[in-house]
This record gives sequence, C-alpha cells and structure tokens, in this order.
Amino acid sequence: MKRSVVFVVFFLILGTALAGIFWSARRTKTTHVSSNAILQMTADTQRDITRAPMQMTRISDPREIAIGNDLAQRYTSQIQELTPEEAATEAYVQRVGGALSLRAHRQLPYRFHLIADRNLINAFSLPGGHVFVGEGMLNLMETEDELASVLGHEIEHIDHYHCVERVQLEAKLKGLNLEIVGELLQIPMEFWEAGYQKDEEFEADREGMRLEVSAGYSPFGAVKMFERFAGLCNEETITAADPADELSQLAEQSLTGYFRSHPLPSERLAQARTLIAQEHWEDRKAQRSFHVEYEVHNGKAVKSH
Amino acid sequence: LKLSDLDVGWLPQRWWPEQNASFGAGDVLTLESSNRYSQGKPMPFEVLLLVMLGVLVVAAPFLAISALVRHGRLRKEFEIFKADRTKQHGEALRQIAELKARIAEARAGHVGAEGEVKSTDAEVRKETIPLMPAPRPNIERAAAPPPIRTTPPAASPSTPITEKKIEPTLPAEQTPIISPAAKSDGEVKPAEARPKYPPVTIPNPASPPTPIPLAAGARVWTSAPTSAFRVAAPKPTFQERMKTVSTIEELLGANWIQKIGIILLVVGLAMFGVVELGSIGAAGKAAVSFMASIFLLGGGIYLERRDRYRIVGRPCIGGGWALLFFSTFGLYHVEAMRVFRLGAVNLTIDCVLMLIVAVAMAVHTLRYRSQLVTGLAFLLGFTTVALSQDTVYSLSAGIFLAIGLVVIVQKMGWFELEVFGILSSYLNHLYWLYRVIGINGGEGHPFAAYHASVAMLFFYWLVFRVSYVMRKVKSNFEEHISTTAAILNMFLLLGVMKFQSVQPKLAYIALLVLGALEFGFGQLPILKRRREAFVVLTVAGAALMLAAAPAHYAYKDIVPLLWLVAAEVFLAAGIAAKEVVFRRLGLCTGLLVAVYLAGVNFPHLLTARDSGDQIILDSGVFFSVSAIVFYLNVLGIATRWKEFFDGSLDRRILICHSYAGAFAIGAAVWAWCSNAWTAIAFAGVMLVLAGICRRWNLPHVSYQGNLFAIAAIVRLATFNYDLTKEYGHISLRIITVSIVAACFYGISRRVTVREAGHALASAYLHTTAATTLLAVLMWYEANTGWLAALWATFALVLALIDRRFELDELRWQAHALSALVLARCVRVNLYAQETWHGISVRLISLAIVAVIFYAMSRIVRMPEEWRERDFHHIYSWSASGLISLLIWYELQAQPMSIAVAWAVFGLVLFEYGMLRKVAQFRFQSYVVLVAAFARIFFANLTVGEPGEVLGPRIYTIVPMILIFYFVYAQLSMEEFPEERKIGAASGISLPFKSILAYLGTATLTALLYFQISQEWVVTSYAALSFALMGVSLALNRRIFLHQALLLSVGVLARGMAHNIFGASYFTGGDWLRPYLILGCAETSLLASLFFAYRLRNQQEVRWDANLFQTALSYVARRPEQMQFFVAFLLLTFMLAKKMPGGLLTISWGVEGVLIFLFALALQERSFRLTGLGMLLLCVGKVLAMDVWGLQTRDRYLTLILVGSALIGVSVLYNRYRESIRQYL
Repeated sequence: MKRSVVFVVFFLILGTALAGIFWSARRTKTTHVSSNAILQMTADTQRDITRAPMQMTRISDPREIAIGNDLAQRYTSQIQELTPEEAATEAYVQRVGGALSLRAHRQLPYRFHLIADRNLINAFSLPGGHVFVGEGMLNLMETEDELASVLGHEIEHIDHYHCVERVQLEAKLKGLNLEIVGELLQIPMEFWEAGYQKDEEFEADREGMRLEVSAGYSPFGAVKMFERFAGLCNEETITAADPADELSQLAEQSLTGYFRSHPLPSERLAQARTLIAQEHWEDRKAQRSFHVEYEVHNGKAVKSH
Repeated sequence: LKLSDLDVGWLPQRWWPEQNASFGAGDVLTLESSNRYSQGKPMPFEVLLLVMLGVLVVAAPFLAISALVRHGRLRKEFEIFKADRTKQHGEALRQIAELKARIAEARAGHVGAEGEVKSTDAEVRKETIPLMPAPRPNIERAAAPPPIRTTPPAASPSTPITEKKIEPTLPAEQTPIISPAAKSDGEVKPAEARPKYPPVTIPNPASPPTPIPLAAGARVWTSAPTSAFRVAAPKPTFQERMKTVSTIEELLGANWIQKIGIILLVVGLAMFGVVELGSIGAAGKAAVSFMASIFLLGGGIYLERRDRYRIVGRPCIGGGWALLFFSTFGLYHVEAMRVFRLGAVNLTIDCVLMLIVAVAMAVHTLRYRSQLVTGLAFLLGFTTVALSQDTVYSLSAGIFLAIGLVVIVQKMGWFELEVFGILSSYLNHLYWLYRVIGINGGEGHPFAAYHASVAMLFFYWLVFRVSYVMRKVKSNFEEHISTTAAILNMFLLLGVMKFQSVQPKLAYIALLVLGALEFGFGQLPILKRRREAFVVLTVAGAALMLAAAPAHYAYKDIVPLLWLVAAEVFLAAGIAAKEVVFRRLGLCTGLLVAVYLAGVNFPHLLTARDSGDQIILDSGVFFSVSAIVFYLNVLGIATRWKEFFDGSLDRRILICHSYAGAFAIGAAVWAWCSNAWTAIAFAGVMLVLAGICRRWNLPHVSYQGNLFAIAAIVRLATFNYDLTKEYGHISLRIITVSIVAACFYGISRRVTVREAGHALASAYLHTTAATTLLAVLMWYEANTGWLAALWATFALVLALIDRRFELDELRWQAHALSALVLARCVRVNLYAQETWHGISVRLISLAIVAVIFYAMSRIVRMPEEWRERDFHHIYSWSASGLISLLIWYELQAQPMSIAVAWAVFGLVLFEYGMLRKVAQFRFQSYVVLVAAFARIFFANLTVGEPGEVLGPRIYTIVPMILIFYFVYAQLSMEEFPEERKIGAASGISLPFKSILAYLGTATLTALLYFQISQEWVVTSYAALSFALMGVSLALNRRIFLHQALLLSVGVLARGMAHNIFGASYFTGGDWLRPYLILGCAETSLLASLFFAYRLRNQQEVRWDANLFQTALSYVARRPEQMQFFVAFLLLTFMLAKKMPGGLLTISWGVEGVLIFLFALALQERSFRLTGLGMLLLCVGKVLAMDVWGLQTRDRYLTLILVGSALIGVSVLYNRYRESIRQYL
C-alpha cells in the first residue's frame, strides 16, 4: 500500500473518529459507566448453557401441580387469617390474576393468595400455579394495571417453567427425589421470595407485559411499578474521581451485579420501554384505578366488586 | 558565708553567738573594730584556729611537695653514697684476691716445675676477676654471689691452696637473676632463693689446676645479668611493703608531728604574749616573748647537734627564730607588746631590728642547708605577722620577710621556698584586707590605706619578679618551679588588687602597666638563655595588656579592633624579630578576636538586625576589617613569609584564622545587606572565596565557600521565597533567587582546588542546588496548574544544556525534575479546574508536559547501553500515559467518547511510530488501543436509546473498528523485528499484528451482539463469518479465515444454546421467526463455502504438533467442513426442536436428500455421506418410533416420503456411480 493511500485512509478514519467524538460531545444525555454489558453477556451465556439440561429433565404438568399444591398448603397454613378487608383485597387480586391467567401458555389451575404483611413488598409464585402477593406490595400500587403487571410477571415465572426448574435444580442440588413431595416441603418460603436469575426475571417482565396487554391492561402499569421500585432502590452509578477509582468501582459493581438475582429497576425499566417501543404499545397509556369494594356481614366479606 | 549556715553543733554553745557576729557578711569589720581588737580584746581563739588551719591547709601541699622533693634528693644522694661504698668494698675485695693470688704464685715459685701451669692460672685469674660483676651496693639485700672457685691444676701438687669462696656482691639491678643451672632447667627464682653462682675456684696447688676457658668464664659472668632482664621484676615482698609503710610512719611520727607541734607552740606563745600577758605590761610581754624565743632557739641548736635529736632540733630552731622575729616585730607594731613609742624613728628602729633578726635567721638556718627548716622559720615569721596586723605598716614586716626569703632563694637555689613565700606574702596581705574592708572587697568601700596597700603589693610583686628574672636555674625542674612561682606571683597580685580595688573600672590601667612590666621583664637580655622564662613573661605581659581592652571597654565592639591591631603588631614583630612567640601571640590574639566577635559582637549585630532593616555600619566595618585582616594573614603574610608558618600548629592556627575570616565576612554581610539581598551577598562571598581557593589552592577556603553556599540557600529558603515585593515589575523573589542560582551554576566547576578528588561531586552539588532553587522558585511563583509545565520546560532546558555541553549532572537533574513533573501532573494537574482564556489549564499544561516529554525522549543523553535498551522512552511512555489520563479527565462529560479518543490517540502514536520507525511508540499505541477496546465494554456497548440504530454505540465503536483494522493493515505490510524481539525477550509470543486484527473483529462482534436483537445475533455472526472468509480470500490473510472459523463455532454455540434451546419456550411456536433467523444464518454459512473452497488446502496440517493444534490446522486447511457442518447441525437440531413429531422424519429426509444433491454438486464426499446418514437416520426413526407412535395419516405420509427419498437417492447413486467412485 502506498504511503499516500495510507495517509488518506488515516485521515479519513481520523475524521470519522473525531466526528464520533464530536457527536458524542453534542449528545445531551449523559451516559454512565457501568459493567452492564459484561453482566448481560455473562447472564445470557449462563442462561443459554442451563436451558438445554432443564428441558431434558422436565417433569409433567400434573406432577408440577401436585408439588405446588403441597407447597402452597404448607405455606398458607403459616399465614394468619385475613380480615374482611384483606379477604376482599385477596378476592380482587384473584379476579385480576384470573383474567391474566386465561391468556397464559400453559393452562394450569392458577390461584392467587394475599399475605397480610404490610412489610412484605414482594410477590412470588410456586410451581403448579400458586401466586402470593404481599400486602406491602399492594400498598405501593395506584392502578389495577400495576397489579396486573406484578401478577403477570409471577404468572410468567410459572408459565415459563422458572418455578418448576427451580424445584428441579434444588432437588438436584440437595439430592431430593422429585417423586417424594415430602422432601420438597423442606424448602422454606423465603427460598421462593428470593427471586430468580436475571434472565428469568427479564423474561418474566417481558412476557408478563405481553400477558398484561393481551388481557387489556396498559403496559405502562409495569413501567410505573419499575419507576416506583427505582425510587425505593438506591442504585449506584459510577462517578469516579480517576481511572483507578473507576476501575475499582467497575470491578465491585460487576461482582455484586453478577451475584444479584433481580436486575436493577433501571434495567427492567429500560427493557419495558424497549418492549413498548418494539411492540408499538405507546398509545396504551390509559390505566384503571386500583378499586376494591366489598360488603361485610357478621364480620365476613360476603361480596366484593 | 554565715557560720550559722554551717553545722556548728559540735561547738560549745557559748562560742556560737560571737562567731556568728564576727563572720557575718553584713558585720564587716571596720578599722575601728580592728583597732579595738588590738587594744586589748583578743582575737577569738576559734577564729585564730580557723585562720591557722586555713594557712596550714594552703601551705600543706607546698610543704608536702617540698618534702617529697627533698626526700627524693636525699635518697639519690644516699644511693650515690652507697654505690661509692660498694665500689670501694669491691675494690678492696679485688685487692685481697689479687694479694692472695700473688701469695699463691709465690708459693708456687717453689715448686719450679709447674711454672707454666702457674702462669696459665694467673692468666685465668686475670681474665676472670675483671669479669666479676660490680659489688652489690646493698649487702643486706644482695643475694650471695657464687664463689669464685679456682681449681688447681691436677699436675701441680705444689700449690696447696685451699679452696676459698669469694662472694662478690652484685648490683641491685641484678637482683632478679637466674643462675645458669636454673636457666638450663627453665626455672625462674628470686635472687634470694636461687642457688649459688657457680663458684670460681682458685687453683689449688695441691691438686692439678683445671684450666678454665676464657670463653666459658665470660659466658658465666655475662649471661647472668642478661638473663636477669628477661625475667619480670619480682613483686615487693611483704617485708618490703611493711618497710615502706614504716618509712611513711617514721616520716610522720618523727618529722611532721614535731613540726606541727612547733608551729602550734609558736602560735600559742605568740597568742599568749599578745593576749594573756596584758597585765604584765608591754615590756614584760616582750621580755617573755624574747625569752621564749631564745629558749626555743637555744634548745633547738642544742638538740640539732645530737644526731639522735637532730630531726627535733631543727624545727625548734625554726620556731625559735620565728618567735624571735615576732618578738622584735611586736616591739613596735603589736599594741600589747609595744615597747617603742609610736613614731617614725622607732618604726625605723624596729624595722632595722626585724631586718637584723630576719637576716640572722636566714644566715643561721642556712648553716643547716635545710630548705625545710628555713621555710619553717619563714612560715612562722609570716604567721606572726599575720597575727598582729594592726595597720598597713604592720605588714611591712612581710616585706622584710619577703626580701629575706628572696635572698635565700637566690643564694641556695631553693625555688620551691619562693612559692611558699609568694603565697604567704599575698595571703597575709589578703587577710589584712579582709579585716579592713570586709568580705565583699574594696569596690564601693574606699579605705585610707589603699595606696599604701597598692605600693606594698607592687613591692611584693617586684621583689619576687626580680628574683625570678635574676636567678640561675640548673635544671628543667627548677625552671618549672620558677615558672609556677612567676605565674603565682602575677595571679596573686591581680587577685588581691582586684579584691581591694575601689574602682574596678580603672583596672585596665593596672593591667596595662603590669602587662607592660611583665612584657618588659620578658625582653631583658638576662633572659635570653632562659627560654621558658622569656615565654612566660612575654605571654603573661601580652595577656595582661590584651585583657586591659575588655576591662576598659567591657562588651564593646571596639575591643576586637584593638585586639586585632595588637595581633597584627605581634605578628609583625614576630616576623621582624624572627621570634615564634610573638608570631604565635599574634595568631592566638587573632583567634581571641574571632571568639570575641562570635561571642559579643555578633549577638549585638543580631539584636540590631532584629530591630530594623537598616545597614549596621559600625558592625559592618568591624567585621569587614576583621575579615580582611584575617584573610590577609592567611593569604598575604603566611604566603610571603612562608618559612615562618611551616609548623603544623601555625598552619592550623592560620586555618582557624581563615575560618574566622569567613565568619567575619559572613557577619559583615549580615550587617551590610539586609532582607532580600543577604542571600545574594552570601552567594557573592561564595564566588570570591571560590576564586581565592582556586588562586591560592586552599582547600579550607573551598569549604568556607561551601558554607556560604549553604547560608545562601538557607537564607533563600527562610526569607527570599516569601518575598512578595516587586522591583521594576519583576518579583524580587525571582531576581534574588535567580541571581543566586546563576552564581551556583557559574561557580560549580571552580569551587574546589584543582585536582581535588571531590571536585566533580562538589560541582554536582552546586548545580543540583541551583536547579533545586529554581524549581522551588517556580513552585512559589506558579503554584498552579502551570507549575508542571514550567518544571517540564526547565527539565528540557537542562537536558538541552547537557546535550550541548555534556554536563552529566544536568541530565540527572532533568530526570529528577521530570519525575516531579510526572508526580505533579498525576496528583495536581489532572484535577485542575481553572481555565485560561476559556481553555482548560489542565489541557494546556498537560499537553505541554507531554510534548516536552516526547522531546525529552529524543534529546536526553543517556549511556549508550541504556539507550539501546530504550530507557529514554520512559519519557515517551510517561507522555502517552499522561495524554491518556488527560483524555479520560477531559471527556468525563461523555464517558463513551473516551474509548474513541484513546483509539484515535493510539492511531496517532502508531502512525508516528511508523513514520519515525520507533518501536516504542508503536508499543504505546498497542497498549492504548487495548485499553480502548476494554473501555467499550463499560461505556460504549450499552449506550443509546432503545430502537436507536445510528446511535452513539455505532458512531463511537465503528471508528474504533476501522482503527484496529487500519493498524493491522499497516502492520501486515512489512516486517517489524522490534515486535518479534519483544516477544522473544519476554518469552511470550506477542503477535501484535494478530492481536490488532482480533481486536477489530472482536469489537465488531461485540457491537453486533448489542446492536442487533438477541435472536438475530447468530445470523449476524454467520454473515460476519461469510464476510471474513471473503476478506481472507481477497486480501490473502489467513487470520481472517481463522476468525471466520471461530465465528462459525460461535454461530453453532449461539444457535444451539440461544436460538434453539435457549429461546422462550412459547415464542418459537410460529414457523417464521426461528426458521427465518437460523435459516439466514445457515444460508450465510453455506454461502461462505464459495470462499471456503478457494481457501482450502492453503495451510499445511501440523501433524507433528499436539492434538489440539493438529485439529486446528486441519480445520484451517479444510474450512468448508466447518462451515457446512455448522449449518447442517443447526438445521438438523432446529428441525428436531421445532417440527411436530410426524413431520420431523419427513423434514430430516428432505434435508438428507438435499444434502446429498448438494454433495453431488460440490463433489464433496463428507457432505454426501452426511446426506446418506440423514436418510438412514430417518429410516431408523421410522422403524423405531414413527411406525408405532404416529397417527395413521402422519404415519403413511412419512413412509411415502421417506421411501421416495431413499429411492431417489438410490437412483442418483446408480446413475452417477462411476462419478462417485472417482470421488471416493
């Protein structure tokens, strides 16, 4: 290659790069340094590696339902009796969840339970179709679409075998026999509250939103919920004083990010917005209010609307 | 001192109040009170006792010294006497032996026949006897010598002499002797215990004489004393020690005790006469006193004539004379004993009488030639005078005593006695002064007899000084004693005069006069032969005259000037008279000047300087003149009259002068130059001293120059750096520090003497100091973001100067400064926020530093070995590091642009390295490019908004990809041995070219991963693989083939894990999406076979390598296999995963047929076998599963289609059998 050509190419590339820097500088929105790219690639790889073995050891739906029922029965026995108001709220949750579950891929006997604990800002699901929602979580909500996003997320954990694969993995790790349900009852409730892998969470978010939309709810209910989670969760953004500081923070963030089960609210929010853009759901902004009506007779909620 | 402060519990209670009153400091005795004592009230006994004890204590050491000296002399005389006696005794013995021998010879004459034998024996005796050792002086202590045995010849029976043993004595020194017998046995015994000497046998006429060989005799008698010296002196025995103790005891008991007794007796008698005999009248007292003295004197004379009591008699004589003198003295002077009426005539008479008595006393005591006796007499005389001091004229007796004593001293040469006389005279006078003016001395207490007292003291001094000058000394010891007396005379005179001095401020007159007199005495011709006396008097006189200056001008600055004049006068006199004493006096006076300057003048100067900034003229002049004189002494006088200052002491003193001059000039600078200019003045002095050092080759001046250099630095550090004033719009700090630094630089190569070993080190230190000063100055002047740039520029200048003039130390300073610059940049400049005309100072300063560092890497001098190892590129690495950091800091607003900027920087570095063919710049570019690549994973890949296609991710990463490939392209154009060398040196193969190519592809792959939706990533990778194959073919670069194959593996993994098994369980239900995505990927892979077939067989299979490398080389040799089988596997598993159970067999059958046809078309056996294998798999599946599990319609459809496929394939086989055989 002639030197003149080299120089021409050199200056062309230089110009391109400088243009890139120039456009970057003109960009008004500041981007943050993070290890998200590394974490995402790692999570994808991890998920892809584990999917095939899970599919090859899949248990049948009836077996899954049986295991789920036994687990739910054990856990519901630990939950205190609901007040009429709570019972009415639970009925409200069941109504919304029932509407969503009709559109799930797998037709399982979905059941929805309220845990009357105002400090529990969480929801979780069990294999076979049982969904539990904490009262603290409901207190965060303002619209029914937000409730639908949470329930859709949990339904998709069940629908996409996340719950049962977890049982499979746990049984494999502890040497339990999946055919003997009693052994599985050793798994504490906190195990299910702890969440899933990031890719599973993302998938549940994504599919849950689709379920929500198909049931007539707004996808912005999920966006609202993620924004609210972001407010509750202090996300760390890297603001380094020097390169060494940035490197150390990145290393720390990468480690904590890898071992973190749930993705950051910002990541979930970004995915939700991406999905809305991809599916062109931008016009589905109207949301229904969170509305529970009930009547009490002799200390019992006899009817809810 | 108050007695009440003392422990007086042992005193009777009744004495106590009186003592308290008489010794009280406030109860000073006046003349009246002293008269009161003399008028009948006796001095308290205890006071007197204490005084006497004091006198005794003072006199005791001198008496003891005198006694010991005397004892030594007597001992020596005794030894000489004993030696004479022993010699005489030995002579007598020899004569006896000779006589006996003659008798024996006479007897032998009768025999006749034995004449020859006799003569032989006589020869033997003659030879033997003289060889006998000298007789031993102390017969009692001498060991018995061996008898001299003369053996008669056996053949001469006519000599009937019986054996006689002669026992010659040996000298005392030979006492520890070893007999020959003991010596032969190795025994060492004391003389007393040793065996007798071998007897010298006198030839017996009755027996034949045995001739004694002369040599044997000599051996016997000469070996004994020689061997004695080989043996250690025996320790004194118990008896000897006891003898020593007894001697001391005898000395005390028989000598000292009685002397003390005599003293007490005389004192007691004197007191008795003065105090207790008041009732019997003055004449009675005098008579009693005279009688007592005559009795004592007569008794003493009587006893002295008897040997046994001589030792008692002599002190009695002394005491008698003393008492007689006192009695004579008391006739007029002592009130209680006064016989003569007061008046001049009577006084004269009494004085004459006292003189007569003193002379008589001296003359009489001289008969005994005993200094002790004479001294005792004089002691008693002085004591009696001390007891009766009524007026100053009472002390006149002391003068006579002094004169008498001096006469005796001169006559007898008893110079020790003079010491005693000096002490007694002055202490007597002091005691009288104490009684008159009290313990506080004469200051403020004028007394009437002052002038008389002065005259008397002067007379004492004169008498003893004349004595000192006039005497003739015979030994060094006498000279030393005389010196002691001379010094004592001077000091006691000064002390007593000081005590009585009414106006101490006039003391300088006394000092001057006395000094002049002493100095004058010293120059008398009579002292020409007494060097010590000359030195003592000259030095003492000079010292007194010099002391007059501070005595008159106490703590005034003029003193050193006067001394300086004196010093130069002495020095000049010493040179003119060729007298070393004068020269050294001058030199030492100079040192005195220096001490005074440092101790007095300099503190005054400091005080004055603290009070203001004005020039301190007088101190400046003083110190300047002093400095000039000191240096003139060193440089002028010592050089002009070199021969006078060759002694090591003179040289040392001159060096001290030199340092004194340095101190004076430093102080002068301090006086002349205030504030900012002091440091410059110090530096100027440093220059001058360096010039002097160079001109006269004086190392110590060089050291002084160094001291001034340090002073200049310290002054700059403590004062000048804090200056804020300006001088003509230029900071005074800049002016002063720059001047000093320039001085340091200028003088650095001329600061030591020529050929000095440390010249280079000194030069280094000076230039380093200058550089440090300037660097610190910069810190003060620009302690902002610009400092690093300033320092860097300074370092560049130093490096340039070093390059031009080859001044080695400058480059090291440049290195040190550069290290500082680097630290400063990292710690300060990178965080600088200030701006200059709207531009970041951080940007400008670091850019300047980086440019300078790059320049330094080119121009800085280094040892060739270092340069060959590219050590100079530490600078370029630092610069590149700084720029990289600068980019990071400057682009913090948009972190995603940092990676691009780094890549651009890497590209520029690379191009520069290529252009200048400098490998280190290319290496730096590799590092920067790798950093840029790593950076995109944290800042670039995840940027952008959802759905944004041409977002920041694209326009920041794509240029980087281009850069990576561009760098690779240039690297692949030619060979770079440096890169290979790095790999060889590190032991790790670092294929930079390949790394760059992989970085480009990896960046592109990462971009695709994040830019394209997850399902389509596999397709994009497959397309990239296709493209890379094409590029590899087009550019003939196998590295892209390798990348394409790697990507194909990635496609397989990604397709299997993500698109087939990893995708959502429920999103793959439709046919379109997964088939489309994977179909596109497979199509790309199969399309790449077009390139793959052209690329195959271009690389040899490495059969000799390990299995993995062999497999890799095989894959690279047959790339179509990888591309085909990846597509095949993806298609097969996709069908297995997505197709319903019945259609799977059909689809696999169709796939097998298509593969078969494809293989036929490409004439590839492995593909054909794959197609056949797929068909066989379908058959197996039909038989094992489909026949039993499918519904009826699916079952027959499956059977029909699979069967048709098999038939079709069979037909094709048959048709193309020959062709297929050719491919096999």
